[in-house]
Amino acid sequence: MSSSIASSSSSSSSSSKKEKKISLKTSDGEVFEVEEPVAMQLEIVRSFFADNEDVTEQTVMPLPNVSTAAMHGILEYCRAHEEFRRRMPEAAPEEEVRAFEAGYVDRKSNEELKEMILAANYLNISKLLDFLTGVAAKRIENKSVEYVRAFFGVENDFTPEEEANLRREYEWAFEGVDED
Amino acid sequence: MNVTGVKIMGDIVETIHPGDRISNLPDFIVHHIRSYLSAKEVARTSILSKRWNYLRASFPILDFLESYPYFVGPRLATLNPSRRQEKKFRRRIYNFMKFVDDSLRRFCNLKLSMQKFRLLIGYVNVGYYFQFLDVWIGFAVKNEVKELDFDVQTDIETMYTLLPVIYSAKRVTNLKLCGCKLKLPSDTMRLHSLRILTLIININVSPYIFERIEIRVPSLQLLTLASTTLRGPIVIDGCPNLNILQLFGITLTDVEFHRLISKHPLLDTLNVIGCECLESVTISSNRLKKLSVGGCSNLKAVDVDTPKLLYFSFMDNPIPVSSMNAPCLRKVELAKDDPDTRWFLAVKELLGVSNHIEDLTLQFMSKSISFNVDEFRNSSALVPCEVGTLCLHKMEPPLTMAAFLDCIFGICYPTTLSIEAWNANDKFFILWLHKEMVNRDVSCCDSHHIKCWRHHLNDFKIESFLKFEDEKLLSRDDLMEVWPLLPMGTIRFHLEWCFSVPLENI
Repeated sequence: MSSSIASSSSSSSSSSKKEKKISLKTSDGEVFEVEEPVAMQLEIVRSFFADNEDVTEQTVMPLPNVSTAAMHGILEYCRAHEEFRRRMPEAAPEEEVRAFEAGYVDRKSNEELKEMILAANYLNISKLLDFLTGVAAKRIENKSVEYVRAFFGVENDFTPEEEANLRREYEWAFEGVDED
Repeated sequence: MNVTGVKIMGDIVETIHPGDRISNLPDFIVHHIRSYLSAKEVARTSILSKRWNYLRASFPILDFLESYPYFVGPRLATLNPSRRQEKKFRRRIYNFMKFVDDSLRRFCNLKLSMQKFRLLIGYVNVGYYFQFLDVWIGFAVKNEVKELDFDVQTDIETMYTLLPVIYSAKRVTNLKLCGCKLKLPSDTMRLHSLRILTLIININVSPYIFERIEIRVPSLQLLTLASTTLRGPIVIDGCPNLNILQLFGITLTDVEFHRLISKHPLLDTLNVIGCECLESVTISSNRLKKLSVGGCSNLKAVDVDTPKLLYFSFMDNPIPVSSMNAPCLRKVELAKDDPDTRWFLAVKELLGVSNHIEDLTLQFMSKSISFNVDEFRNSSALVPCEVGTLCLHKMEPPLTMAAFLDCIFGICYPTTLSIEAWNANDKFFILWLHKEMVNRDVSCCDSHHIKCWRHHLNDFKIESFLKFEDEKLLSRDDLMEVWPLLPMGTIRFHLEWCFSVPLENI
């Protein structure tokens, strides 16, 4: 996550060769051959290739913080968005994007979602990260404290007295006031 | 919320408590998830663990909209408290103000930048409280607030005047002020980052406010001005980047309006709603994509010359559009109380200016439609144009349904007809419409060159039915048989038109 050059330049180099692929190796050793414009959505990959002069097409970029399962999910999302961009470069077909995204997260368990948030963060794909954190927020909306703890795998390290005090302090967040 | 902005903050207070290594979401991701939650939800997540509670102190969104009704009580939060309730109200509002004050001070002690500060507070008609507001605005500005949403509801005598410190909020990108009096310094605002400005100047007990409003903000992109009580010159100048302008209830003369539009050549969206001083208006722009004109009750003429316009809404104005140039128009929304033949003729003409209308929404509130089929046909030799989808919205079912249908299909031939059923009358109309389309009688129109819709409707089918607030489409063949039992919702018909018979000059 070192550089933050504007991402608008990402597609400029793709014109020379149509089928250029980039090799990415996940934590469990699987190598993914990814179409260049898709791989360039991963900011960490884009800056790796932009900053290193001596990388070649044969270079396999290791991504030690991303599992194969998370990589499949991430590439599915990025490929779909690349397809939208290619078809309608001016303005994305909003309804189609929404339909795709709704179907896409429906198939993800809470565990997968969390893993992908971490992966999207590491790979620095801000669009996907925005989307996934929004989905996580939706999933915990109106849920009990206990449910949300389980959702994030958070261990309750408060003593019962501390928790009771906090619940009193945040009472306003739990209920409305009685009738006047 | 901007990811990078939060990330910077995350780096400062990166902490991993040994208790929850398994929930290894980085701090800024915790903030990011919380940024999608309401203030209540955010507060509740503080009880998850010590780390989540600790992180709440550094959460850069300070939003007190939801906690206000809790502290003062839901009824006192929306009503002007009576004399009897005033004591109770004061005690409660004191608790609320202490809560806000504590939260703000705790955040500000961390010396982090503030993403957002949103406050709604009502009827603090005692000057004593205003000093708190001054201090809070000061905190927000000092902590480089980016979004500030400040809504103070008072009455005119004790209206809160914002301190000039607000105009030195250099990082603020989104500023919304509601119910505050502005003392704009003569050298105008120095808000270098401001992109979105919303000023709502409405006082419940309303004598007029005479004040000059002057806005010169070079970075401004979106400006919303709303006031029915403001009387005084409004000068919007030096905002060359403005592309969205929304005026609600603003007192502007024709001359002032035209000057305003001509000064902002980059406008792509313009909403003019309830501006009752406008009489004769010309809107001419090569950039404009969206235009809404509504509730301007003294309009006598509207001329629109907008070659790039995609969306046009014209609701509840006394007259139809006088002239229009908008070949790219795709989506049109029109509303009128008690429309007459002249209005329908104007609509037909309006639709003809576009190459292809994809969406047309019509909304009328009328007991009767004074529509004369013969007058309509004799006045317009144009063939109704084809449109993608026609939506009929919240219409009072007309007493003369046949005339209603004639004018709908006298205006256009839609491929999809979508009708909302809000009550039993609407449902009855839809049932009638269905029957009318099934048993269409083509023995009419003998003496006319242009045949009516009955001659051109080749076939139709019910595409779907969608219950309100439901996402599941209901499509079944016997929909009309079970129709009276169905809940309220939107029905869509697919219509197939056939123009093999020449439409004109047979």
